[in-house]
Amino acid sequence: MSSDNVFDKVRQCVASVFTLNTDMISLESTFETIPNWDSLGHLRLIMAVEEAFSIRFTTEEIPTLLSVRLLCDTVAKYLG
Amino acid sequence: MVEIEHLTRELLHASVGEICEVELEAVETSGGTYRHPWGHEEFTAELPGKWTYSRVMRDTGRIVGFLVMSDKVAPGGMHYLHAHRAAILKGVRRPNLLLDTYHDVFQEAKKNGLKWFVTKQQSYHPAMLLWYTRVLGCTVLKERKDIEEFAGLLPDTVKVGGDGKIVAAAAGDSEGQYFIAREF
Repeated sequence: MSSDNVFDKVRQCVASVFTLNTDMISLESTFETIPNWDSLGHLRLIMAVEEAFSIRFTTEEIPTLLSVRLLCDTVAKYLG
Repeated sequence: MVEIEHLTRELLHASVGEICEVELEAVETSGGTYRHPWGHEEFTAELPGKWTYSRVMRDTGRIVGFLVMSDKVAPGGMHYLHAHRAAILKGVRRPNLLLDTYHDVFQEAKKNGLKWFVTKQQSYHPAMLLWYTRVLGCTVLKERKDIEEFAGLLPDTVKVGGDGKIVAAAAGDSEGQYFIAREF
């Protein structure tokens, strides 16, 4: 899967979890720029991304995935 | 910038009104799936280790969250951390704030020779149960119905296996609760 495709899917997850339009979300979006990205919102996003890509992040990774870019980079590692 | 600090007896007595407001907001913003709010009496109750292992979160001086924990003793004498109550004001919630607070307490508990953390989570709040398991790294202990063999130890106790690991727990109060634990 190309990095553009990963970004598109992650962006859809973020939009769906936080009820936003996809065009409001960029690679630079973080928990500080997206409303309601709190602890439980973060967990909902993690679950949505895991489901979208059929992967499972580790307990150590979850707290670090605080931006769209970090999510995309980590998903890409799982996809090889 | 939110800062984490010890909840001392003096701080609690001086700020109990502020802490009750955080608790009340957490209850009110939880969509009715939460809990009966704690008041002055519950917050000021003395518990073993409470003033060592409880924390408040401050944002520019204002108390915006708390984590109340204590040191409990399992049958056989093993001490473990137990979380009683946690809440953060909705406006300052962010990923990892509660996690960082827990890690701060775990670090101190580890220095004092404790190895285990245990808490109860209501089954009607599945998102928090998921947070404890996926983010804090806890596992769900055997359910109460499976551990009737030590029901005589109620209320609220844990069972320690031969290898020193907490393997099960029981609550003396309501049904519909999960016990979750992790070694640190």
